[in-house]
Amino acid sequence: MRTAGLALALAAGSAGTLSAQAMRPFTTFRQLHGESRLQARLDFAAGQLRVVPGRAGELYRMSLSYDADRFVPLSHYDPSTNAATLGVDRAGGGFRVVSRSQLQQDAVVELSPRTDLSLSLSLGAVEADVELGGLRLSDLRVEAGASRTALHFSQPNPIRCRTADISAGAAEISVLQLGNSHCDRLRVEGGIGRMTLDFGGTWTSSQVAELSLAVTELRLRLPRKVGVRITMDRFLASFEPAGLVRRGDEWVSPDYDRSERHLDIALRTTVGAVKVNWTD
Amino acid sequence: MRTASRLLLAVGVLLALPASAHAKTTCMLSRVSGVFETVRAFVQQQIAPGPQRPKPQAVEPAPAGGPSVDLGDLSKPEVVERQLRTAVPTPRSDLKLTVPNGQARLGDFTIGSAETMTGHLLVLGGDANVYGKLLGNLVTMDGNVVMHPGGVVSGDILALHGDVRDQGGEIGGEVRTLSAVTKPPIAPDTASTRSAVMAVGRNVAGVVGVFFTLLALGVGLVTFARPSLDVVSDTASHSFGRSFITGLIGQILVLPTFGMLVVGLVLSVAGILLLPFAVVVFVLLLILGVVRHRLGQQLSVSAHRTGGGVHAVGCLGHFRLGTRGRRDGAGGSGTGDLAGGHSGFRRGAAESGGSPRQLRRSTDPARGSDRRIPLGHAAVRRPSRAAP
Repeated sequence: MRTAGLALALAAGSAGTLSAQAMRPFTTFRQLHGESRLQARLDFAAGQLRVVPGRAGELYRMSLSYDADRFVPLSHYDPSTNAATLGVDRAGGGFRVVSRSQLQQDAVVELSPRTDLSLSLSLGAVEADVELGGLRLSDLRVEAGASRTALHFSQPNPIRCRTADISAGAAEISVLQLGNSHCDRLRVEGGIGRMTLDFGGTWTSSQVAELSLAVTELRLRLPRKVGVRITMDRFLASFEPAGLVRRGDEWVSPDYDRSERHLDIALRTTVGAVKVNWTD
Repeated sequence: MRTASRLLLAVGVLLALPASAHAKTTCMLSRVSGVFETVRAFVQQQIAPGPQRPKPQAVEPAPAGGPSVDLGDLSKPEVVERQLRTAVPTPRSDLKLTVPNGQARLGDFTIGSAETMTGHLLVLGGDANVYGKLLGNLVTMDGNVVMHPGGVVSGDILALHGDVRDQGGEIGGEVRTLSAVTKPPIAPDTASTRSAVMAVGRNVAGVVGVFFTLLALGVGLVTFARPSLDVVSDTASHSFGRSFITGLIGQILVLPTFGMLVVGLVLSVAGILLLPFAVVVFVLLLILGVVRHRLGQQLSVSAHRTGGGVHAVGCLGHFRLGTRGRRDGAGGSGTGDLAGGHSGFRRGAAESGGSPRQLRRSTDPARGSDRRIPLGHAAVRRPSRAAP
């Protein structure tokens, strides 16, 4: 009985100890010295991340507040390849359970709007808000674990983006204004979660999207001004065509053949739901 | 009439004048007070002692085997900080420290606009003002780096517990600042006390909830799964080594098994649907296994201690049966069946290594045959069969 009382007291008192978490500010930046391209890799294990276009005179900048007991900051640049690695990584190996206090880490990463950017995001238990509008994005790769991620292309990409690869685990991902991304090819792999793909924005060329999803609720926001064709392979998945017309094995928008620019979507989904909304 | 209106006007002017004058006076007073405040703050700033800065001086290199800090790689600032903390616990005037391919300074340090320094520079307990050129890395500890227009640092800059102010200098490498640990802001006393009480209350509620959940599981097990519980009890008591090794391997294999289950279900695609249920079932089975193991252990231990469950606690069914046997024994005039049940308990204790006192007490002529009965059965089952 005494032992039980002691255990009870310890368990009850532990909350106070856990909540007194020590955060450590860390800042890193690099001046722009005429670099024309940047390969940026952002590894963020846990916390909140915001990515925005940076200052004119800087290649990158990261302002981070991290849990010094469990994480270490990542900041490395290789001038020979113009490759920068930024973020936080777990201190030491082993299995760790992410607590709410660890999620209080936050980082703001600014990337140069003057250099061609190859961006790779690796997100763990992260709530990420990534503004890619205004950046010269040449390609994009996103690996999201148990995260809630929003990718915005609020301004048109000044250059052509080759590919955007998005791979999500148990995540909620929104990609907004994909028309501004000017990516030739979009590849998305989704695990369990919810995904919103908004193809609005300024279209300058046609796009191809390959979507492979499992146990995912997919919401497609399609622009009326673009001809849309969806080739679908689905198993135990619902589909609300909402204005698309069936043509053989495909679903197409009524003015697909007359449209100047096309969005061709190859969708493979297993157990889930696909909903279509139209935007002007 | 005209005189009366003039009088009224005069009274109005007289009344308005002091108010206006008062307003002006208040305004002027506040301005004067503001000036006084500014002057006072300035004087205080000048008089008050600032943070203790060591006298600017060069740090001599340490003799062979002495403290040394390599500033060649600043990509891991926390490692550099740890090395510096070890080598320089507190900046001292008699400090000796080696910086390979560089030098260390104590206190404020300035690189003049006409100067060019080659090698890494470490500044301890002071600011580094760069007007000239530094061909190497720059590290400050407990001080700031100020890059003035025209100043050049060809390598990286690291400010530990300080800041980097770029006023127009050129930095060839990466700039990093690592500040001191910040504790979360402390709330007012009442709020913190209230939140602490609430936190403790919340945790107590959680613990109580877990306790009752486990209690319900235990009661359910004893009520509905007593035979298998007996097996666990027998195994734990008779083959301790085997059950220990089995449990150990089981614990090691729990996570890989879970991983394989999840991966297998995901790979089978159709099994993804079952994933949430599989996870819940796996966790429940795990909890069930742990509870059964504990109960089995408890049964075994209590049987060893009390002689087949007469005084067994922690297991409701066991307690009930034991009480019945005990009541019969205490009365001294129980029926033969009940007495048999009672002796069944005693026999269980004797066979499972009970105390000599229990052995003596078990020499009851009414206990029947002397065949060996597994402990769990002797302790639990036999009395229930004997009882009417």
